[in-house]
Amino acid sequence: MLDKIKASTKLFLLVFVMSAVIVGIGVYGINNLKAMNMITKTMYEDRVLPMVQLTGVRGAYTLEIMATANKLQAHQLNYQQVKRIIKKGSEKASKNWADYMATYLTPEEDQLVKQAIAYMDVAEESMDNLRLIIDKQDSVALKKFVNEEMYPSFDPVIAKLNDLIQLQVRVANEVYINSNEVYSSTSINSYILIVFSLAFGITLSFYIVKNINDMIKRLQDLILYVTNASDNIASASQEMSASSQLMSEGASEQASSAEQVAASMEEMTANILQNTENAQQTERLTVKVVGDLLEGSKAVNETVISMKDIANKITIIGEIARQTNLLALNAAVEAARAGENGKGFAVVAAEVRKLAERSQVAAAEINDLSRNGVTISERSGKLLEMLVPDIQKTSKLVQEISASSVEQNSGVEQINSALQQLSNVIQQNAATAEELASSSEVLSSQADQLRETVNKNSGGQDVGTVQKATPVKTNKYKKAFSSTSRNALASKNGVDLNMGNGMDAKDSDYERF
Amino acid sequence: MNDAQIATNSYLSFKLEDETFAVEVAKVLEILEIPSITKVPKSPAYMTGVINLRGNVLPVIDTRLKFGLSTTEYTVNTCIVVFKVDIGHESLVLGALVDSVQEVLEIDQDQIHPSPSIGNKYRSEFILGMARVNDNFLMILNIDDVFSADDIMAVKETSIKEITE
Repeated sequence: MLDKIKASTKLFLLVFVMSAVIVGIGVYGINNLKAMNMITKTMYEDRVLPMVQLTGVRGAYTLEIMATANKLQAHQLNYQQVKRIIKKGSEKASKNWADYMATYLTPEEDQLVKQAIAYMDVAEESMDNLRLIIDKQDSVALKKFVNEEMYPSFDPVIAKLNDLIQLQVRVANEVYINSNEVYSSTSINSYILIVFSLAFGITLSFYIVKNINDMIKRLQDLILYVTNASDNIASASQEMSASSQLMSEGASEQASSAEQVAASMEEMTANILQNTENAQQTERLTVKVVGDLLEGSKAVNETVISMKDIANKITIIGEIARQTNLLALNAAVEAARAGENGKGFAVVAAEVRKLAERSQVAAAEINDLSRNGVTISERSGKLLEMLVPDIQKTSKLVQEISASSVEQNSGVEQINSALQQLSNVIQQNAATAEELASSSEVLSSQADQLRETVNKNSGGQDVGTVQKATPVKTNKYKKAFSSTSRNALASKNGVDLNMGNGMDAKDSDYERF
Repeated sequence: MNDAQIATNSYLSFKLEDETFAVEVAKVLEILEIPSITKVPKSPAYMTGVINLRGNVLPVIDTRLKFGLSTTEYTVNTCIVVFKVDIGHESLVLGALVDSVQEVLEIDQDQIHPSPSIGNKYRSEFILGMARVNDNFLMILNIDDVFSADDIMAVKETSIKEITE
């Protein structure tokens, strides 16, 4: 699971854990120091100061009051002086006592204090007596007081005060012992913590260093890969440059072709327009032709009738010619019978007969011809009538052709606009291809730079060796890299990138683990 | 009128089926178109009938039948040639149906060759000779011999009957 965490995270984890341990130790130490400080403060405030105050009270009683009374009896001091000293001593005692009472009292101390207060009331009574004696300046009473009353009334108080002082010393000793215990436990805990954190830190560091070493190895691989890839990118980008130049040329050719096509299309448009016009004209012509044909058919029918008439008439002529022939023959016969006298007439009759025969033949021929003419005319009439629907159909077809020509025209216009677009796109393509060429050149130089940078920063000769040993094909660089390069890494000694042994100047900047 | 002179020179030619025949012009009276022909009962097959020729009865003979051909089929060219036939001292006028009348032509005597007697389907006594005109042979008929005495009798009877009626 930890393998998947980033190296920086690992480092951060290490630093965080170590910092947490340090902070924990620090907080623990500060807490203990605070406890020690509290102990010291208690020692001073609750033990040392009370001792001073108690000593002050005791001193006030012994030195200011009792000693002064003795000195007065021995006449070493006068009454006025004594009175002042006693007043001072009384004030000192009450002040110190009040201060003492303000401090912390242990239960045992409290009991002792109560006893002391009881004794102090007795001492106060005797003090009042002393004050009366001093005011009266009664030396007898003084003597009696000093000898009989003073010591019994003051000694218990002093004894109690001494007990209290002893108690302070004892309690201070107890506190000292307590503080010793705190110190020892704290130091033991701290040692344990330090040892534990050291162990944890070292373990974690070893782990992270191992990870970083792995990462470095992976980085070596990566650098190899990047170097190869940059070579490949360089060659690929060169190829790409060439290809894109080719593409650019192709695009230019395309552009020219598209222009040619556009020109052809324009010609075609003109042709189609011409076609449309021709078709429309043809349509008009066919309509006219249909009319003419109908008229022609009618004319042919009339011709047929006329020819039939002619044939009839010609038959009559033929008949006449035949009869003339007969008459001529008769005349010839008559002339022949007339003998020598009829010779001239015979010649005339023969001529007439010949003419009659010729006209008969001609009539027969005309008859045949007119019969032929009639049949031909009838046939042509029929053909003309048959032509009409065909021509009407042609007219329809021509109309359709005209309509489709118009459609073609619009289609051609669309094609023209599409061609325009195509031309634009092709020009764009050409520009893009040129851009691509320059970009690939830039890419190539970038790849070279990248390779140089990688070589510079990662023991270049090793990578170079690999690169020379395994020239990678452009289009199969992945496969080639994964198979050939890895194999090369595994098999060849020159590929074993050992970053640890050979320390150089740059490596000395880094700490070794 | 000099019949012999005429006979030496002019001939009328006509056609029967594919053959061309010629007769002396002196024997020909006239040429007629086919009028309405009245059939005569119980007459021989070659007697087609009689016609009215300007008030006279003219017997008409089917020449084709007489010559042993099929019966004449009437066309526009079919004509009746009126002959004057001399039998002995008697003369007779009769009409002969011919397929068509050709022309009147002059044939010199030296152009006329005698007809061959063998292989001729016509009786040789009918034919005076053969003449060559324009690469065609025409047979010159002796019209007097074509019609025998029997024919004449039949014709005469028909004519008389017709006249008496």
